[in-house]
Amino acid sequence: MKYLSSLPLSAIVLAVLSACTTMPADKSPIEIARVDVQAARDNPQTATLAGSELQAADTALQRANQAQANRESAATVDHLAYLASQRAAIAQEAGRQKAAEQRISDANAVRDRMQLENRTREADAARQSTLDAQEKTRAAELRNRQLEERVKELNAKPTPRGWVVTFGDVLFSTGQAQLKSGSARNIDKLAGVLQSYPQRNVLIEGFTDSTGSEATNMALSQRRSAAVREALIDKGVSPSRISTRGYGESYPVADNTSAGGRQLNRRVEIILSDDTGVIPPR
Amino acid sequence: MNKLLLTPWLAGLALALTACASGPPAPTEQMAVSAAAIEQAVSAGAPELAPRELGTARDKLARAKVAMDANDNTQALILAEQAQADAQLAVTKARTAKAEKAAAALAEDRRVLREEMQRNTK
Repeated sequence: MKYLSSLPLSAIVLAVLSACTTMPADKSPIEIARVDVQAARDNPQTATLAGSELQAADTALQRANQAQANRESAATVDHLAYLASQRAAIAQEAGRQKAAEQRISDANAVRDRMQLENRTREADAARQSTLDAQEKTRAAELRNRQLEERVKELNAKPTPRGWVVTFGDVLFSTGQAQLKSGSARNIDKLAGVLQSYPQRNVLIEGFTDSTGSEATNMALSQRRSAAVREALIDKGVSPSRISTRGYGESYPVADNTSAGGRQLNRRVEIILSDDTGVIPPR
Repeated sequence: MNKLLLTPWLAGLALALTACASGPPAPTEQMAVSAAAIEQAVSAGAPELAPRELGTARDKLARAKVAMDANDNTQALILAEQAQADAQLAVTKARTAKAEKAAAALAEDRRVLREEMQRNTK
């Protein structure tokens, strides 16, 4: 009798307890909580980075242990154990979070340093290229000044098309294309300039006065410019760098009605190109 | 026999009622705290980043309300406290996921930058 009545009572108590408990009863929640908290303690990342969260998990576990020691209801013990397990999980997550945040700040620092290095390098390169460009400009200016001095010895005149050296009529035999021996010094100097400035070319243009037929004058102007070309080639200037034109009586520079003016018009003009070898057309 | 058995039944029922329904006042404060923790989890991005923990927290808070309405304040308090802990875990998980994503993105940035620098120095 006594045995029979105690059975349903214990069943009811069990049912009540399981109704209040939220944890399944297959494994003791407090055992799980002890394992969870210990795992958090043993995780160096959690231990070093989530100290306060780990402390909270410890405290929660102590409360659960205390409740068990005080023989509080299983429901209470299970509940406190569950809270301890969740605290342990929070500590583990917090450790993970802090570690990721550390990686972020490390990465930011590294990235900032790399960007700084990059910018420094770019600035250095830019400065260097500016210096290089300035150096090139200075060198080019120096060469141009040196060229100017040398062509001025040939009485060259600066024009929009470039330096122009004029070989006057006196350097040619009268009515002929042959250069007189007096021209040798000028040819030598001109050839020397061209050898010093290999990127520069020359255009040789021949002109006459208006005396005589146009065809004769055209032919003479062409032969005279060709004669200068030959003389330069003889001095070692590459034929590819020398162009010639004959303009006959066109483009006079003086009055053809006076002897003096006609003599000025009988001439050969040698135009020196720029550094790229280009001479603008007339 | 029947009558004799009824006594322990009644005793058990009474015990059950006192165990669950009597004692503590309605845990309205804890309910509010837990609801706030769930809101915090939502704004931390838990719906995408920690849906399981957030779902558990919401479920427990709902069950706590049901228990409180049934005057089962002990159970209501237990469920509400657990809902708070679950929500706090959801917050931490969401923040961890975000931080790890950001860390991965930065590592990728750094890799790209390093490649770029190597190209530039060539």
